[in-house]
Amino acid sequence: MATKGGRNRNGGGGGGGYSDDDDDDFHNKSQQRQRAPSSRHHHHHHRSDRRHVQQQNPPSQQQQQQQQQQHQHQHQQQQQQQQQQSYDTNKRRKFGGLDDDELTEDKLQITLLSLGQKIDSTLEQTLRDLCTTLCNDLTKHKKIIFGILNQCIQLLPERITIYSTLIGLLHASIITFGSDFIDTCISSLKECLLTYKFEVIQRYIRFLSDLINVKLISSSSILKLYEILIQTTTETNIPQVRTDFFVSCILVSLPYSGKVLLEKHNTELNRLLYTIDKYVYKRSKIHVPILQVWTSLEPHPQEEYLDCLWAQIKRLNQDEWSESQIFRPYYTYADTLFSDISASIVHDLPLITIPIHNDTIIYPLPKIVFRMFDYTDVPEQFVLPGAHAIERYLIEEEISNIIHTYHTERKDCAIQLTQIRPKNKIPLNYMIVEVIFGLLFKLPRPQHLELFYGSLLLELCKLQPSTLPPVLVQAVDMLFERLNTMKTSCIERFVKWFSYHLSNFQFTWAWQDWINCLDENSESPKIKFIRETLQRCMRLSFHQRIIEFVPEQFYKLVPNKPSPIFKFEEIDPPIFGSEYAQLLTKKIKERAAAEDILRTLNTVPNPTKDDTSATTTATSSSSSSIINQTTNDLTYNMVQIDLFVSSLLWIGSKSFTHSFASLAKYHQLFKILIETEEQQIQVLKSMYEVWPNHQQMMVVLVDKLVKTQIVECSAVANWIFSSELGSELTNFYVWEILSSTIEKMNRQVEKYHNELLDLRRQLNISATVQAATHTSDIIPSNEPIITSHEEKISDENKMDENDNTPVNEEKPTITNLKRRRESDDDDDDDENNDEKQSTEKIQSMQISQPPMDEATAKLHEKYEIVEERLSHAREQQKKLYLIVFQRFIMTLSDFLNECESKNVDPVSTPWLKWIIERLQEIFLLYHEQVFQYVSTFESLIFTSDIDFCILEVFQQFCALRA
Amino acid sequence: MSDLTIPFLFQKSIALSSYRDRQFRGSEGDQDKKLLTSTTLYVGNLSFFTTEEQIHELFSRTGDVKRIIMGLDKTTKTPCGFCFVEYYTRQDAEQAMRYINQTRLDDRIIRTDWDAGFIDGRQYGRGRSGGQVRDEYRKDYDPGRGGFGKRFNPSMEMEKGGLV
Repeated sequence: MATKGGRNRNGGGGGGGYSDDDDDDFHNKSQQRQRAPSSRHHHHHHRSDRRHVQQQNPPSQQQQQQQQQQHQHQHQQQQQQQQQQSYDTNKRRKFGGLDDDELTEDKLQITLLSLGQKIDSTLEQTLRDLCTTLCNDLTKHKKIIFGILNQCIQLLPERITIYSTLIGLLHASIITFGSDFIDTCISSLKECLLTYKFEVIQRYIRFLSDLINVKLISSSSILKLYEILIQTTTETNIPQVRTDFFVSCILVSLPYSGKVLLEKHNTELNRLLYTIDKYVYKRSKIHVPILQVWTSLEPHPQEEYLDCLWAQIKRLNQDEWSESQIFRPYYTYADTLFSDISASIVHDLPLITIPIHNDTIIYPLPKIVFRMFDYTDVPEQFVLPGAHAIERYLIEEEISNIIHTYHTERKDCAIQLTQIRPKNKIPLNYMIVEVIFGLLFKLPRPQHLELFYGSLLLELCKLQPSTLPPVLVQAVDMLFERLNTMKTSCIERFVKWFSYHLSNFQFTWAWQDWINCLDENSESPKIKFIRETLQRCMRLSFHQRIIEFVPEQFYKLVPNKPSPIFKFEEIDPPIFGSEYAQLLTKKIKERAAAEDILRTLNTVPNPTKDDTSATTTATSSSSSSIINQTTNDLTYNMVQIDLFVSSLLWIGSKSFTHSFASLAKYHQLFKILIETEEQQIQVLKSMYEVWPNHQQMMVVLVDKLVKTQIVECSAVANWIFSSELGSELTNFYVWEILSSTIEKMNRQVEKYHNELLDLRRQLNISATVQAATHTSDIIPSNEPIITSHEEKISDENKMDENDNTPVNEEKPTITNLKRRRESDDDDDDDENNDEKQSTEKIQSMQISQPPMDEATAKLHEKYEIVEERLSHAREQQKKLYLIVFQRFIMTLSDFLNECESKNVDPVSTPWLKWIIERLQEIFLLYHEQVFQYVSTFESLIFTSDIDFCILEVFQQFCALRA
Repeated sequence: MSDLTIPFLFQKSIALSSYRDRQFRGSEGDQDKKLLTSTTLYVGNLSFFTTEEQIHELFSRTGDVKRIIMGLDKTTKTPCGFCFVEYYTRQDAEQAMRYINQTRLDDRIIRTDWDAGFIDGRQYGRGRSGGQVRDEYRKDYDPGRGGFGKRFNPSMEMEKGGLV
């Protein structure tokens, strides 16, 4: 990023130091660690296939390409075809070439999907030519063409007016086209309605609305469709999100159809708008605060999306539905489309009914409108449309549609964005940056990978090296200034993006501009932001690099050097166990066997039996000697675990790989030493003592410990809220660990769920196959599938089913394995029971029914086992969320009590913000899972006796689906 | 959107490149098949100083990383500028191809490509001097990758040989 301080880097050449991205390895002259600021990449343009493809339409080469433009379309097609060939090699190999139909389909798909990708003067002719071609092909390939056109409508919402123009032209040329096409569209729409594909439903309704502009659909029938949709406002006992969705379908369509409706059906239109107004006015807005990026409404209100869109539509209505932003190519074909002859065939839409509500339907969540700029933020020569101008909505919609469509190809995505042609001096880059940040900060979750938005911003910087980076710099500064009220999840995303962005620009930033905030409270959002950003920068580079790029005043925020600490190494004063640690590290280094290590651990004197060493260990002075004995045994065991884990991690501290290898080598020893949750927590505590300065190491180690089942998810949750970690609770990595742990639990449930669905499907298939091959002895071909399932199941509850680390290989080496957990026993028993039960079942079935073949019987057996596993995993998942929420409430209540006793206003402390917003984050991130158990949580923990500031989070969360 | 089939038009970034491992055991068809379902990426143009930790930080942003195998110089057993990153799922690996390829790590533009899957032995450089072949004859001075190419003497003009 060109910063205020360092913009000179990109000063001269258009591409700056960045245009070399397509150079391949051989020619990339790279930079040293201690890079001189002027060092540049060499540009040896090695023409590779990839580069060739990328050249389709780089804006920097527009001038040279003008002559080629006529050929470009054809050229593009060829390239894309090549591209497809390389992508689809299998298909080609398998069939030994494509037949005519497939070729036509490919060709048509390429042509239609890339139609209007670039809007220029050739589009008018292209559309006419395409219409002629399609007219010729239509009789032979009608099904294919209709299929692709529907695909275009579903996939490319940013170009719908181009497609409606094409459809209009076809309609004007072929008398039967219109009604046939409507039939296809409607059956597709109905299908989407039945399968709740909300996004596609909305796209269809908007597209059908635009078809009144090409005289294909009657305006009265569109109005009827709207009236059916608005009927949902009169339904009772349905969630608001249902009605919201269908009302939003009308609102997004009105900019396209409003003008025609005003001319032809003024009264009906007004009645419709009146109904919408009434509905919007009476809606509940409890859900709004949990979705807002900032807790403050200054300087921008962050409106609820339906409120904002309604305000924009009302304004458009006042302006008599005239807007200048929608590209409407159909007007250029007035002679064809709107002549008296063709005007005679306007079709009515068939009746569409909306499926009634049921509680299993999950409607789209409500949204808020993210705004960070207003007209005062942009340079004078630009005019940013106001918050309630329809242009603001239309351009934002176009930008986010393009981002969504092209999200798998970041370079194309950036090119498409820069090709938007906004009318009326609209500052496109400001709007692009605003929309991208809005998508990145979207709550509950961004739609796409966070890294995608970051890589898209990099591409945009490369395409417009002199105009985009300054906007981005301005945006970062504004976001920084608004950190105090920014939601914690969003601050975290901001940190992750910013560190990544900096790492792509050699960490160049005008850090000195932020110097005056350095005196703030160390927990304040700005300080936390800088600290966490530097932490992430270090993770992407190395400690010394950070020291080099920040001014000295920032040193106190620079993370510690991420080195391990071995407490047993400290000689003065020696701590209990040091001599054993020496011995252990020596043995581990020599790769001693697990039994050997265990023997050494057992030589550690037990403080309860040897009073001389008892002084150094923590003891409880319980009156009951029995309890005392158990406590001491436990303490003794903790010392053993601590010695073992510390030594092991210390020896493996060289890298992730070394640490993982150590864990894997002694996996069985872990299983022997560790049974209870307390012991699991001890492992985590010992790890923390070795690596307090290496957050990333802790993140990956906990991940490994959970995956290899050395510690359970619930132990991680309890450890995170333990007193030892209390001071770390506002640091972001702690929540990174918790999220990753919860996600592993969720994935586990999902895995069993999918296995179950898969088995269900197989059972259906095998039932059919069995019926078909009833008399034959041949076992149906699904046998290999069964074997693979056997393998899967023998994997048991492993969190990490694909993990092939040598964990399993060492299993047989130790025979006297203790059972690690009770649940393991349960599991085994269940399995046996299952086996018996299913065998019994099968036997009983065999009496009454024709014999079920062996494969099907096995499938049934598997099915029951997996079903059991799933319900067990669900229980654990529920338990995990219960622990997390309970610990949240305890921690927050303790804090609130403390504030009360000290007479401090808790809201004034940054601590409350960091923690309560993490609670909010857990709700939002995992809303699908949490909603499954919401009634349990409501009756057990989120009860009226807890503090309102906690309860409020729960209530707002519940309102998301209300 | 996930329920819609994204057409090939938007899949360029995850298409196979023209590179094929000539030491692959099996037919080219087998290799292609493996590449098309692989969850492993080859990562190139790393600095010799880039660590596993840094690679993990960047690549874990597209998904759960199963393991990272650092490319080592055959003789010195030190990093020689490449690695393999293995994910648990194809989808996560595809995301890395889409969003990490051709971006920077440690101030260098790194390159990712599909790999048919790690086999022991592949962690070593295949150049005669122990590093990667590309570092044998490289003519430029690249301090992040051990200076000049191992067989290139800057004081003498080297003609033939070219790039292998």
